[in-house]
Amino acid sequence: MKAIHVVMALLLIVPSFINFYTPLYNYVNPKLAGLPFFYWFQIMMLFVVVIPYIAFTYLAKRLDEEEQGGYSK
Amino acid sequence: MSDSTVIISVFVVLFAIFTFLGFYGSRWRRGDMNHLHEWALAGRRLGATLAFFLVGADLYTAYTFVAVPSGVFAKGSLYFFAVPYVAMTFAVALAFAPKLWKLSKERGYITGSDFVRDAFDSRTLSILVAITGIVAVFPYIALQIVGMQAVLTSMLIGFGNTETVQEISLVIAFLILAAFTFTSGLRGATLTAVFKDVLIWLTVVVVIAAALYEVGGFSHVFSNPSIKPNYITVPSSLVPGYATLAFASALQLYLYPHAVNGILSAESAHKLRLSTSFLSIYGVGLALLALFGIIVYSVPSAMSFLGNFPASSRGVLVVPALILSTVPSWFAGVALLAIFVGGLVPAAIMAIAQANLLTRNIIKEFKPNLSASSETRIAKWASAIFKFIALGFVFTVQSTYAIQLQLFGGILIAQLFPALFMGLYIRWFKKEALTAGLIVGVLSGLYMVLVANGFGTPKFTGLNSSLYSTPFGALYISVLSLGLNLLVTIVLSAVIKRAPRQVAVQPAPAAGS
Repeated sequence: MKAIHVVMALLLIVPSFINFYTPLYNYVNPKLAGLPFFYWFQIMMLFVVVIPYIAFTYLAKRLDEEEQGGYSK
Repeated sequence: MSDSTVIISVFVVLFAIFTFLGFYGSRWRRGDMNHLHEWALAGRRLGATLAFFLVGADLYTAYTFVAVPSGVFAKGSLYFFAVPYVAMTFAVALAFAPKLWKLSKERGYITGSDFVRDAFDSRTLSILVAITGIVAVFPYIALQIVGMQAVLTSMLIGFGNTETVQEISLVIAFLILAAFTFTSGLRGATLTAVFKDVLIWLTVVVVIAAALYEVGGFSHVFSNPSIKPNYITVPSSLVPGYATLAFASALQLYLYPHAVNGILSAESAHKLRLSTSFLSIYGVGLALLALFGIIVYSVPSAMSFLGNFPASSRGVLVVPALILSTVPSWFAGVALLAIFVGGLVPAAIMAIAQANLLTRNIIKEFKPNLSASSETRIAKWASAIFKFIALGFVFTVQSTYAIQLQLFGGILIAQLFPALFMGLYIRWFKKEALTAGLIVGVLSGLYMVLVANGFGTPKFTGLNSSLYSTPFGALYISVLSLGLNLLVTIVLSAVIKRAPRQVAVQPAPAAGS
């Protein structure tokens, strides 16, 4: 397994763990515009995860191109 | 309240436009609709944008407008799990969907079952995968019917007593769904999905702004005395349930046959990944709709509207009630139509996928010489008949807990994870092991559902819970039965000895056309 595979896996696993691990955000405060932390944090995560997902997408594209170039594997 | 003549007129006119799009869609970029490949995969020619809408369509279904707000309304923050689920599910999709897309392109698969048959060389396993897929979708379609029924009920309530209106609404919703699926095919459904999503976004933004303006912002919503602590955070006893509901739902979404169709109709692996990456932002509307279940407590006119109905069906009417009491009548017509087609389009897409599996992976296994046109004819008729089975599921839940329909289907579809997704990377799995794992997973899931709902005891009132008590707290049954499934799959794969299979010798299955 190459370093790029590890990085790609982390780009999916780290944000997913944050979303999965409820005790991390199961709080009332700080509120945002009256919305408890529990709610706004999870809504914010919907935007935040896009960054690692896009990074994953472009790394995957690079891998695909390498494979087609024939010097991978 | 609003003027029902205006609402119904706007609704009917927009529905006419929508229906026209559906018919036009079946002619648009026309392929030969007598080929299943065309009817069911839109000829594998959808670019990033359309593929986005096709999968996005799956994010905005009656699950989103009706089931989640209803759950939040009745039980509080537990049902907000749908939000972390959406954020996670695209990570799962990025890990597995492009691989499935590539293999499908190379070897001509048009269903998940095709892959399983080819990769593990097992007709039994591929038929079981197809049957599990078909059955798991029934309760999901039933949920869409509940959603469509809720919209019609909220519009027609002035015209008769509650019970009659609900029954008539159910019949109309069902008939419209059957007619729509039969005529449009995936191409039509995708085109209407764009129309539907535009209306939905408009509705979500306008209604949440109007409702928050009316109640004076979230601080008032959350300081309302009827908002108990379990509406503000997840009670500690429900945290394991919350996390497992989100996690398992994330694993499940892309295993559904209609989601596999969505994956395969993309134009390239890169475009598929790119549209998937952005879909979580699209999930913001789902989060806002979930909050409707809490906001509604602060809107007195909406609460008095809900008071006309028995408690068991108030939840599904939360979003329609907020629409009717916060926006002008003409816009209420637009918004209700959005929710109505929000159930109709996904239900049609799901039914098409089911029919696809039936003909291609079950009937064709026994009658391999079926002509392309009779294959499509059977698929269309099967999808019509299947809808009656879905209708049966409508009666297994109290409508407020309609989300249980999706969660129940989820328990079944999750059992395909080892064969369909892990199998993309791990060919070490033996076919007998996967088959045994799938059977153990499905049966243990069914057993735990029955126990959790007190089946056979006086406590039993239909599907009310998908959580099963364990020493680690109450967990979503899906993770438990998937755990058993994996255990069986791995142990048996390790035990069964066989010479390695020679993949290359195998002929690729015939492409769908």
